[in-house]
Amino acid sequence: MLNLYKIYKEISELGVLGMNARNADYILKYNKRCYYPMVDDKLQTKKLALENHIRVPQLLGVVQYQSQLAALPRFLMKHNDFVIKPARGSGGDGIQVFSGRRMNAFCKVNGDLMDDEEVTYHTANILAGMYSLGSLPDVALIEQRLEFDSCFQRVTYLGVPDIRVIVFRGIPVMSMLRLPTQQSDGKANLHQGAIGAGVDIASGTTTSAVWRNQPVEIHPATGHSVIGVEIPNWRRVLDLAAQCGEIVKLGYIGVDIVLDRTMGPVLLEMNARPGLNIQIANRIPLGPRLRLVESLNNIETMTRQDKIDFACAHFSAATDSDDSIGEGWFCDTISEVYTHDKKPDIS
Amino acid sequence: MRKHFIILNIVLVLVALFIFSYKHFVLKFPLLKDATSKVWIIEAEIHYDFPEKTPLHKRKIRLNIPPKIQENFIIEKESFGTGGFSPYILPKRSGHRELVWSLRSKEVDTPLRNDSSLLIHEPILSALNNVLYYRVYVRPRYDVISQIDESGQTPKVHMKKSALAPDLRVATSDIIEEIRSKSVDDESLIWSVIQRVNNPNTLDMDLQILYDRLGTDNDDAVIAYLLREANYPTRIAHGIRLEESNVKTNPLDFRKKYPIIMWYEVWFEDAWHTFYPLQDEFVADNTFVLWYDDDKMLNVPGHSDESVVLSIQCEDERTVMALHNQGVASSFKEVTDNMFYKFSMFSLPVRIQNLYITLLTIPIGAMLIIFFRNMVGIQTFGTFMPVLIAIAFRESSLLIGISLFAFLVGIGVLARSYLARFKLLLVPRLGAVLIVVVLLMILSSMLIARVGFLGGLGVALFPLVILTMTIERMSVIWEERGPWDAFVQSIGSIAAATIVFLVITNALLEHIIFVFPELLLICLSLALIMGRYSGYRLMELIRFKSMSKEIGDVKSL
Repeated sequence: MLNLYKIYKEISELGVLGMNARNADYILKYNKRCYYPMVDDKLQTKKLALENHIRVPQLLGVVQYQSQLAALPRFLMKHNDFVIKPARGSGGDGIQVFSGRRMNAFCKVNGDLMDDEEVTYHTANILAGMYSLGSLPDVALIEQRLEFDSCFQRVTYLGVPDIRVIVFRGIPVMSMLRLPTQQSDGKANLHQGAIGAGVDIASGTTTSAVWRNQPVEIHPATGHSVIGVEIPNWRRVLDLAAQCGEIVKLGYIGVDIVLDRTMGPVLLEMNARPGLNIQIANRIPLGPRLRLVESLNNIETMTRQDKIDFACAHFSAATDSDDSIGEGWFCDTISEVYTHDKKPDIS
Repeated sequence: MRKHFIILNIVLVLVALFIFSYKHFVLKFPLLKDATSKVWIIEAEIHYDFPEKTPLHKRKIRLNIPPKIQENFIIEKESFGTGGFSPYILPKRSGHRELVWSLRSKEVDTPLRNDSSLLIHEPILSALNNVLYYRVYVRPRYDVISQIDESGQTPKVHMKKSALAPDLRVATSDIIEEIRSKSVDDESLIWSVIQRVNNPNTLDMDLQILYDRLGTDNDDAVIAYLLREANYPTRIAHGIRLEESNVKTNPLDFRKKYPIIMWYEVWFEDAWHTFYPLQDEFVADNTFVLWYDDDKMLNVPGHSDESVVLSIQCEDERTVMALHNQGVASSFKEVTDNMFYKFSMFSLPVRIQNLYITLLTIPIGAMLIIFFRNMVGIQTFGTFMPVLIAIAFRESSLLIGISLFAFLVGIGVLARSYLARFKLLLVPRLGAVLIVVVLLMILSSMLIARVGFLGGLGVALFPLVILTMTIERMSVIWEERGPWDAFVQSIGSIAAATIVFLVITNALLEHIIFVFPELLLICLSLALIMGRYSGYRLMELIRFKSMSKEIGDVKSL
């Protein structure tokens, strides 16, 4: 009991964001209910993004009615690489990723085969609302499968890694790289078994990682270190994330971005209730960063560039001795310990 | 905002505490239930319906009501609704009384009870609804009453002798003489008569003549006739057993019927002796006599006893006293106290009261769920499903309930995964699973009834749709997140349901919330306060433990 109290005190001193605090202090306060459909419905997100010239995975087709299912296998014949997902799914449920055809069936990224009938059945379940929020009838999206950037080749298994950026009032406050594993079935959702590697906002380099709530350093399937991975075009990733924060009218969101081999940063989806594991992945609590952004009173006048600069200046892992942040000696000593102990490993 | 919120909570708590302490300290409602001062409230709710053309003077409802003096109970008070009639009470020769609701009281010679204290606070519209109430408050009797009539004579009333047709007389005396010759005392003779009639030999011609000649196929009437012919004053009594286990009503089963039992009372050795026609019944001091002789409780043309709903409730005597000793002091106090009565649970019909006894604890269950989810962080299927499961557990015992629930969900998940291969669409699949669940319920009820645990029969009340949705959600979680997550959520749901069950079935809590429903305002306030709790959940302490353990590793910004 005493031990629990000690943990409670320590993590609240650090400013670790809990579920209740996230809901009460940020989501309820900054995310208006009426704007939720923009992010909950992936079709709307896509439309919004295209209007604002943001790159998204190409939409190959939408299945809206039961009657369209009959034509689905023939339609899919034309495409080898595609993803079927529910428009209003949550937490990655109901997403199937296909990478080709083999023996007259569609081949999932993990090598499993699904024949026409199974794919149609899965799509029918999506339409009936099996995966949607509140079990409402849904539509199924068929999207082009993205090809991830070659820099992730050694730290991912089967699926497409993506970058989750928490954007608060238009400022990217924390980010992580989500790496699919054998267990996550090609999906990049942490609760499904993907690795989350914290990414330093200033440099775009991974610093630490978590897998199933435990810290890890190497990818369990590939055996390569997931620490010290440098994400190319990082500034563009931050820019895309900040732009999403601007267009969507929600104050606190998680933006999922994929680095495509040819297209560069592509918006995958947005989330109005982003998870809290990002703190464990980064080993950095969200609280102080969010409070700092909340205390900015000139945020209306800041341009997107200003916001990104602000983020890079204040939310950096390596050069974090900035005294304007005001967490006192604690912050400084920790960062020193960090630089001395961990930096050699990375290089 | 913040100030507003705090004030709202303070107001809620203060109002609750004020009403509570006024009722407890001024009106003397007891906090704890005292087992030695029980008062039983028995209510008959009569649903009548006369055809359009019934003339006014034929619109008459006769209800047999309990005798004033009985061996086991003292009638403290009785009351009834008028329903637009002018009711009066008629004493009957056989000992009980009859309550008559008629439109014009032609039988004025019986004193019309004009006592307003007898009238029930009945719903204004009950006259339009064709509903009448009769309510009686009784207390167990601890003294012994003298059973000999005031005149000191044996009761004549129950000694009817009819003018006998010759073959009937012969048959009667044949039977009596035969039994008398084999009996050693009064008791064995009476038992023999009962046995003879209840276990008829098809060749028993004498008995056959009795049935024919008396024009009845009612065994009871024949037994009473024979005993009277053998010079034993006899009456047929109808009554109920007042048992606390009979009182509680499950909200899912509020149309439960109270079994009315029947027995014979036979006079010998200067006292009434009780004989039950079925020998597995036994003489007990909790039997309350409802009426004598008549075979029906309600005498209205075209109505049967099905039109009477009996409800029983057991209350602390002091609570009832507090309710009825009001309105003696100043007129202001009278008005306020009367208000407390009107807005207390006790102003409702007993049947509805019984329903609320269990319903009122559900807010407590909801509060527990808020606690589990927002403060502890337990994952459950569906938000308030554990509360519904807990209510279902009431009907069976806890262990049987849990195992049945696990069994039904387990088999349901198997059935669903089997059905999945046919690629059914979502809604038909849910329907199919639901049908499977119903079949399983029937099967398990039959099996359990066979083995003999009656507790299992309550499984029929498991909220079906909830079970089906649970099976579906569990399957989706199983497929998408793996068996571990499904297991965690099932354990979470069952644990939450168990704790909710243990709390809401607590007799003390049930009683306190029923007598002081204003305490629910405190529950409301607690729910609001928990809604503003933005600290960590217990489970998050474990989740984020790694961040505090390697504190040197964690940066604060």
